[in-house]
Amino acid sequence: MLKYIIVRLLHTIPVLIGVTFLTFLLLSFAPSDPVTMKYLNMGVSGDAEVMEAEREELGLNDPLLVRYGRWVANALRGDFGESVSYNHPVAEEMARRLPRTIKLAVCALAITVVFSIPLGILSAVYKNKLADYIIRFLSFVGVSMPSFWLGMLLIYFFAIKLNLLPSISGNNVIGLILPSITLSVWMTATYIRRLRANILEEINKDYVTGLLSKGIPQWKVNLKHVLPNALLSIITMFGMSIGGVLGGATIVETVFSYQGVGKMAADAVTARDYNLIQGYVVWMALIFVGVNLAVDILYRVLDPRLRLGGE
Amino acid sequence: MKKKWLSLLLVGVMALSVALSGCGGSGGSGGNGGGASDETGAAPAGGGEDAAAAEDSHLDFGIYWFGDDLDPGNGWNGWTLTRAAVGETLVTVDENLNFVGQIADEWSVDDDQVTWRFHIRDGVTFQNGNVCDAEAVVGSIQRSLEVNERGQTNLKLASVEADGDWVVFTTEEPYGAFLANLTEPLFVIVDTSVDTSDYGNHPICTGAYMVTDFEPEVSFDAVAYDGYWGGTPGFESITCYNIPDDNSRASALQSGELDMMQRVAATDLSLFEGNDDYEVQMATGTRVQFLFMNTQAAPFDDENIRHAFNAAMNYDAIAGAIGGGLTGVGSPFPPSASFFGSLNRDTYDPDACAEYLAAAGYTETDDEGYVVNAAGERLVCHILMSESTPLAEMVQHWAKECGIDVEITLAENVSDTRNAGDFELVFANWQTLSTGDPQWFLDQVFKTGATDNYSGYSNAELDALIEQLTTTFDADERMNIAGQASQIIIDEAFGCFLVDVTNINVCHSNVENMSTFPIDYYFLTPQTTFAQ
Repeated sequence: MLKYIIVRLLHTIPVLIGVTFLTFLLLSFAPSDPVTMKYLNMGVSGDAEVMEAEREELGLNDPLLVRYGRWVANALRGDFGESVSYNHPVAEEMARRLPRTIKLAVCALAITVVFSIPLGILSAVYKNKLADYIIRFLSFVGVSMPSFWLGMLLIYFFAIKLNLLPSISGNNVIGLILPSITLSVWMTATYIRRLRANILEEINKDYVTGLLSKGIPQWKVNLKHVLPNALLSIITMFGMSIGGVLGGATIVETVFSYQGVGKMAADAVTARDYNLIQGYVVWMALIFVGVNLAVDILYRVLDPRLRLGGE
Repeated sequence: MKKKWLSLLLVGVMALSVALSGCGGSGGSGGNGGGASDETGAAPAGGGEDAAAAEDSHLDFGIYWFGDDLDPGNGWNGWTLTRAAVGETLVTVDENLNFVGQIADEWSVDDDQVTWRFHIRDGVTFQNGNVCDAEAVVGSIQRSLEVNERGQTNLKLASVEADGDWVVFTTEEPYGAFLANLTEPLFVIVDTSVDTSDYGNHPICTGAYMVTDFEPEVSFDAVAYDGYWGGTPGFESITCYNIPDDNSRASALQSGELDMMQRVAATDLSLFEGNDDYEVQMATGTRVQFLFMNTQAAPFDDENIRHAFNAAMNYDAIAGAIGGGLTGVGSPFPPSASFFGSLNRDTYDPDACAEYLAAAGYTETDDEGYVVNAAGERLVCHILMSESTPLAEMVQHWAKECGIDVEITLAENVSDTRNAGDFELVFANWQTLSTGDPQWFLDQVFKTGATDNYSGYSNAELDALIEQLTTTFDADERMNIAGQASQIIIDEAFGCFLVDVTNINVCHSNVENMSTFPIDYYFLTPQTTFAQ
């Protein structure tokens, strides 16, 4: 297992080189540059000499490979450069926003797990009964609802009409409730539908019939055999969801004025903030490589077929 | 068996829901903006008993942009400080675009036209108690010049020194826009006699409110500075929130989390207008949305076509259709410019449009109603812009009414194409009366060979007037010259000037003395307070 982990970690290196170079290349194709965008966004026209001096200072006039090489050399020393939008080191800006994104992600994922697993089971166990119809209808609505619209609905009812929760998320726990719910609704609905389908597929398998014929109670079969098997494929989905939410949720962050990495990344693209985009890309690559590795390891622990099949 | 499953699951879901809610509730107490506030909109409910006690003197307000920190020397971050009555400059600009003394109470320019003298008001102190005298002002100005490249561009400064209670500036050349440019929040006066390294979080200025806590991108808290030279500020404390999204800002005001907010989107205005719970204020801004016309290439190298296009625009109808308090302008400067009323501006005139088109050779119309020339070719104009807007579509509509075919070309790289002069019409939304003075816009856009003269305009008389602004120091006379320059621009049809951007601010009705300025980097004033 250790060897497997080391090999997988080594795979991270070409992945990081690939995605960062590709990002650098794509950014070089993008029109305008950070200096032009900075003045444009403020609605003022900058002095040509001042702007040229800023470009020179930022090294934007150098060839692509020189810029990339310089960025890699600095990044290896832990220096991801300065964000032109925020005038701060990229690492500092990421460090400031990541805890907020992680908090939002943890809350949204917790809500997803808490609601989707019981409701998915309930929907499968009561297949084609009233409870199933209600859950399926709600999950259908949840999957179909755009998050910006749901966010605004929640603000309208809970902040404006009922005055119970804030519409500005701020940086406290109570402010996380509405954005977390908004972010989790789509995931919860998707998981319910997937779990229901998985359970129904497992329930009809021969081993379940065999266990029931031995006189083992249905609930025990469901809990000990059906559910673990049904949850196995959910783990991959969950891994992808973790990666997704840790990358930020631009729309939810915008609606609730939440300062996470999602909105930061979107703004960085608009502002052509090359260093910040690169920092974000590295973060995303690390998340997905890490999450995929964790999922694969978990699979090996949970699935005896993989464990016994060797590396 | 199924009932057992059901009961277990329901109990589980309920227990976890309660646990989550409980967790959320306990964390909300005591935080700024931690919860929705009551109907007075005074303070968030999350503040609990403390918030109730401070209900009468704590203001929560939202603005649409924060810089990366609060150091006025960095970028445009000083704009946040002037919006929140934290930072002050030597001279400021009032609601009528008049220059008003702030830290300076008197100023003059010598006959040599390069020496400016500002007398520092008695009793001005920094928020740490240090005296703000002429030496302190010199230190602050020098810091602005050192840390921000815009500083020298704005002031063209040769030297600055203290002379008793006076600060004496010497410019490199006569520069009429000097006074106006000195009002730019880049020149917010800060105390440089102390360590300035933490000014990004806690700047020491001279304003009515003193920053106590700054959370980048989110908000900052400030308390009233009891040594403020202008008297007791209207609130004991304030929290300024950064809410870039227009809808979110409006929602926060409706929910009572904010008492006051800057800039309402046109689509949200109906939420507040005519509602006694709110006060809506509007002021014509200093931005104009306009189209650069490329006078160096067909079809706008023909003055008749330029005039025809401008006469086809129904400025007031365009502004009305877009809403949000926009005004049709037909002039390079907005109605807040004192000379606006005396201009013979472009107006909607379909008959005149037809005459100009005929003069340009477009005498017939085709089956679809578009004008064509003798060769049967339509007059097709292309607007280059980065994203389609209702304004562009309105331009297209009114041009079509007069038979001009307008096509909107979307391109991400508008600036490079524009700078290369490879366009017919290009959309712009610019501060034309920046710092309340017209020189910057005229200088940059209309002077022959100027940096932003993308359209290749050239007019000797216009150049002479712009040059005259450099050596004219009387504010009224400057506006008079700008009016003459504007008339030439209109008469030569050097652009299509569509609408001005109105500044709209809203507060709950319990807020008194909210101000709305033409220049949008002013908002909260020391006089703003709650009704008794």
